[in-house]
Amino acid sequence: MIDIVLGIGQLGASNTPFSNLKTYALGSCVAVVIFCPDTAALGMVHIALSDSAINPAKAAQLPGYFADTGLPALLRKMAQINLKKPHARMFAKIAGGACMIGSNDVFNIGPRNVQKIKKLLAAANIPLTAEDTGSTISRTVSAPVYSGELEISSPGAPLRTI
Amino acid sequence: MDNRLHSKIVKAITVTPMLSPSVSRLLEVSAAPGHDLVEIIDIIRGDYALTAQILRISNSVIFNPIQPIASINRAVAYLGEIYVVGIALNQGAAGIFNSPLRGYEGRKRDLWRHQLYSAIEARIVSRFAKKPIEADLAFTGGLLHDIGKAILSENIRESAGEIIAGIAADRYRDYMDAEEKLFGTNHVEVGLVLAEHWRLPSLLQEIIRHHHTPAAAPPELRALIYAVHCGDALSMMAGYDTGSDGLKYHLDEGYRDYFDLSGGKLEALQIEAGNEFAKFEKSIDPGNGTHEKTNQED
Repeated sequence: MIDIVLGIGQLGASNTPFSNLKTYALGSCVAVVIFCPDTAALGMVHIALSDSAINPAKAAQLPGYFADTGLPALLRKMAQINLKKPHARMFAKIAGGACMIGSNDVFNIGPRNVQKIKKLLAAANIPLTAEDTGSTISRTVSAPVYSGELEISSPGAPLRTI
Repeated sequence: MDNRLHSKIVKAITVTPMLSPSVSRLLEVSAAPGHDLVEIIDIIRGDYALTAQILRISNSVIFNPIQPIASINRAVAYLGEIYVVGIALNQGAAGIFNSPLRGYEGRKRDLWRHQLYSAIEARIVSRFAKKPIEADLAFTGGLLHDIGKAILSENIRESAGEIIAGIAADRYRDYMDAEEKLFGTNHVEVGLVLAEHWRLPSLLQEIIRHHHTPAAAPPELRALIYAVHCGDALSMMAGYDTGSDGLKYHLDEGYRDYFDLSGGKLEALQIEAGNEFAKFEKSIDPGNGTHEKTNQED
């Protein structure tokens, strides 16, 4: 398998069955994975914050950093792969969005990210079919293109598949 | 605490190399309020390896000076004190910072990355203090706050699963409570013994002691320690945790008495810290790509 490793704010897509999109150590960040069964393409973005209005320059430089610019950027990337089937079906899975114990409204960046991403997915008519979000764990997410499944690992916890 | 565990921890600390005289002195001077940069430069000048490292970094493509920097005076002024302290500690306590934290199922350099990110966040948080605090001191405290994990880790192997299940079942309040209940000590206590072994300044020892319990800190240090507490939290949130303990600690909301982080400030400082962290990591270790979260294993 060829690992395509995405850092914070990075996004990628592939329809090569031997590739695997991967991102490490999501705390409050969220990995959004979009799978297109019609074209067997899979895309992932590692989102750090919900709203790009806080720093438009950062959004221009790295759109995947924010939910409101990252999701459209990922869909554009997916569209390049889905050119032959522009109306192909897509669904999404998400992981991440953790927070500290006793986090208040200010520090609740993780849950805010998850909430915003769900709104954006709904607005784009992309069903969210599975999620592993919240709690106080960090997550490493691996998404093999051939399966469309997310393998999620956390230190001290069993491997999960959604 | 179990006698055997006590002996193992004491022995592990006893065999931990002392900080070099220049790193010790650097920490002492940088922790003294109102110190002069000249004092920092004098210490570095006496350490050939550190001088060479600082000159190399100040001339690196990351910092890209207009003209080559040939003198240590200019290099220190150009990089700034916190960079110099960070470089010195990274070099002088590599054994501790590079340990893979097996007891927390953490990877090699997770501790360094966590403490560096915490330090950068603590310094930025200090800017939002309602009354001025020593931001550079918050940085140094952030760099050292979790050193106890490096020692405790080797003595709490295969406990992560039990601790995580215990927290989920409310048997433990958080990860530190689990450490206490299972082992009779915690990473803060162990860190303080190591701090004593290293003869760290008392101010830095207070930061280590109270970084999870800032409300219990002496009133005159409370704002400073809350800055480190918030830096620690933000580091974990950014994914730079130390392994199985993840974000399993309490956020003390008392920070609100000392800092105003509302209205999007927290998000803005996360962006700034991420940029600064990447720059720091690239400059210190340009070869291994540690500025990104990688799959580097121990």
